[in-house]
Amino acid sequence: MNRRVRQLSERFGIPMETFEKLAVTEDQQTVFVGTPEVMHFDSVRPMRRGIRLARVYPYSLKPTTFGMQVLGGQTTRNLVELSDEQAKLLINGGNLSDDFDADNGFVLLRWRGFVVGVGFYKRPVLKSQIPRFRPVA
Amino acid sequence: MLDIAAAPGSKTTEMSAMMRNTGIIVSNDPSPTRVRGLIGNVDRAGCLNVAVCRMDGLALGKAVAGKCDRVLVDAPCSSEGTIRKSAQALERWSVAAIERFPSIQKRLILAGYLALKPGGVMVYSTCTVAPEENESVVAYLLSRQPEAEAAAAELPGLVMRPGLREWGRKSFPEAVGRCRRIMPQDNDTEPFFMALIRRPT
Repeated sequence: MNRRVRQLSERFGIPMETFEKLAVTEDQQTVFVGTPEVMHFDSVRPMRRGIRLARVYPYSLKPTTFGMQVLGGQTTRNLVELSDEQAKLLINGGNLSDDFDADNGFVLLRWRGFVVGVGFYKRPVLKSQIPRFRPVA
Repeated sequence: MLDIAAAPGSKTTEMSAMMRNTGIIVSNDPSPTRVRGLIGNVDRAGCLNVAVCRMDGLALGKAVAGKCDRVLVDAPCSSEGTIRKSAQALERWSVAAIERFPSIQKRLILAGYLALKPGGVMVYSTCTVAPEENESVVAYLLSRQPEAEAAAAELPGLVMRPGLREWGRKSFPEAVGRCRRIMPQDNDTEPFFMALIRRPT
């Protein structure tokens, strides 16, 4: 199994089976994931195959919001459950300050049972990494 | 599956969801700026089964000739359909635009057809009502590829009109009547045109 997948699995407890029927590639510090058919499609040279799964940093791996929305559903570790108020605050670009059950570094944010994105936790501050396209009223 | 003029990607992402992230959708747009938006939407929608290309449609059609089960040619058009929601669209509208688009539309419909496997199905669609960009383009394909079959598309719940058989001094073959027009006065929607084309086995 791809070492980046192993890193994600170890950090977040995402079952390895989640990636069983998928293929993962890495290019210029970015990890991509897609169906094997797409990732090995060679009739033309596409600009992009699949979606961005993570960005490779020198000492960590930053998962993408959309990658985790699709594949992070069964995560068990470094996961922060958000209340409605907390979710609204983070989605609007604010920070939370609390003693969460998570290690420092990137964490997944779950709201109402769905992984909504990624945060960066440096105890006690949790910063949202969710793209800020539209503020939530 | 090939989506030959895909940006910004609403149909690609919808089809990806319908295919439950399996198989392959080759989603193409030749414009560098529009293809960036397409990639963004493919990411946001979590489409694991999409490969995004930035190629000329005709070149892409040749590269995947005979390999696609389904092809969507949602062709660039004069966008008369968007006048209903945007006054700016009316300002941009011109007879010159209606005269300009058919050449690219004809290239794309031919490229899309050549990409089909035997037994494959293509949808040609526009959001415009001009017959020059619709029935005339389908008639062009049928003249170039006489074995191509136009089938009647059905969309339950929508009132649809048959494709026109004549426009101005032009008349179109009977098969063009199987194309479908969705008109604003029938469904309280924007207008739309679609043709379902099969490549015989």
